[in-house]
Amino acid sequence: MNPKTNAHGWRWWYGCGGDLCRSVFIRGSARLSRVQPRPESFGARSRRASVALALLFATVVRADYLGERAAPLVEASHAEIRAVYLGRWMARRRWDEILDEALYAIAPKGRWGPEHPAWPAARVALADALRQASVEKLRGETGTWIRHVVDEHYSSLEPAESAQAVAFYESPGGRVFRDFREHVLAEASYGLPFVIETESHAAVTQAMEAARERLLNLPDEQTQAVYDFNHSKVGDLLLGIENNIVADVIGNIMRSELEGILNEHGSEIARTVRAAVPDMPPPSDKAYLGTVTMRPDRFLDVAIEYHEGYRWAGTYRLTYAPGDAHWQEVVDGLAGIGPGDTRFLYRDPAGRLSTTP
Amino acid sequence: MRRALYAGLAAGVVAVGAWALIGARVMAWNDATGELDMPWLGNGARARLFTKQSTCLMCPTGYTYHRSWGRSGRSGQEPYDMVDGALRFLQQRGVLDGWPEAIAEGTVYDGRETITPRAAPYRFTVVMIEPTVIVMRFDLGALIKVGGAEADQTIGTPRLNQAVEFGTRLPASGTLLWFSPDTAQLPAPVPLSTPEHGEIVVKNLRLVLDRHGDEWTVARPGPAN
Repeated sequence: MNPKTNAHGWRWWYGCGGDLCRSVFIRGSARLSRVQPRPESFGARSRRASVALALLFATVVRADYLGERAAPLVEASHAEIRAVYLGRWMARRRWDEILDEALYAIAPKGRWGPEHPAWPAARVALADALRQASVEKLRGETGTWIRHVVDEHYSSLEPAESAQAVAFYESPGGRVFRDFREHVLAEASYGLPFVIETESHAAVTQAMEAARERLLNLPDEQTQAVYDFNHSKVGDLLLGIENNIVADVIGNIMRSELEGILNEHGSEIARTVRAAVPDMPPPSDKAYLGTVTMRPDRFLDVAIEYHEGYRWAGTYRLTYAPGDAHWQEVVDGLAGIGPGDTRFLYRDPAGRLSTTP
Repeated sequence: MRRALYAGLAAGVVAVGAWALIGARVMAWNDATGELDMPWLGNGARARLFTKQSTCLMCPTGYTYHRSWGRSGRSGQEPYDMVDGALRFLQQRGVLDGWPEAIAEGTVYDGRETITPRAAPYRFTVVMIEPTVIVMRFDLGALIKVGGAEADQTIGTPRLNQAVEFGTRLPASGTLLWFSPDTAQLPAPVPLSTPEHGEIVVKNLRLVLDRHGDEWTVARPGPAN
């Protein structure tokens, strides 16, 4: 579905190339004009303020300039929604990692994991809560950033190259190619954050197959046009921008935003997940540290797991011999540990060690 | 002509006076101790924390920010430098190298050397300055930045993946060690006469540690003899 412009200049998509999404919209130049410095601000009281305002103005003017320069191509190629899909796809591994790490933040590791009966339901509830929050982010600043990234890179084409690309995407063959690519990306990123699909995965797959059929059954001259464009300098350049630059940058933005959502709304999301899955393990004020193994010779192998920003960063491994200064105090926290045993290790807020959360 | 000359002179005097006043205000040390739990001084008093700003034409902010702790701002020492000196002492004696390299911390170049931050299973607390005494408290959580004091009771350092704390109250969990770069004293267990009472003696100065429930308090009662 083509983007529409409302009275405020906001560009909306009421679906993602065919009602795939509940709502995805990205704010356009109207948002930028809202942050333009007001004329009276230039009656500067100090030199510093004037310089700051001038810099802000220059930035806004540059963003507007890039936006205007890129607009025909961005609109003709549906570059923004493709960028959103690509970013989601690029962030998919981080998404999986964040879901697991965030569940361990809600109830400590050692108390549960993927084998726990409540884990799958909690993962679904967490994904729902995070996706909802991510869609809100896309409506706000994240959408603006994506718009800037797309504008910056699509405005790098020369006017003649841009016109050639616009002409292709507005041609019958170009539209079919564009729709197919959009459907492919929508299917590949199905279920990931920043968009909540209203269609089933099967329906999205079916729509993609239908788009594929339309592309494969184009009249010969349109097939040739699609082939020629994608093998032209401009087509090659655009694919490179989309797949190698825009996808990377927006993937990075989305990965950061997912972590930001948890930092900002982690407690609220945890409450939502707990309410949805009451049989998950209770929360604990103890921090999971890792594991301790007592060797047959009673040496202690301590593995302390370091997680930073909902990401496993590494493991510190320490060994304490029975005569070491700290051997006894570690053992004191490990009630009943014997040679050959491995125990989880927790730390309470006062710094005391224990084997239970 | 003469009137204009006098007016110019007067304006100059006012400008110089204003500059001197502003400069004096900017250059003076401010006592920023407030409610902070400050370490002891060797003379038996508590150290105080002082701050000041000075003009810096080449700095983006136009000023630089200084801290000092001790008896006065002028006679005191920059806390960051003191902590760095203490940890450099441990580095030179091979103590820091006995702890793992901090994960995901990279390296830091401080203008003199490239520093690889370490992850120690201890919390570090500066309990006395002039001479420096630092107490180390065993805490596996320190490896992964779990727990620790409020930011205003800490001094940052590139040599560890955690900040160094300061004050006279410590949580009573974990074995206590201490060291003092001023006497080349390497980390050693705090001598405890009972599980609730210990004493550190350095340069004939006594620090007495008493346990009250979940907390150790460090007192500075007077000379050792």
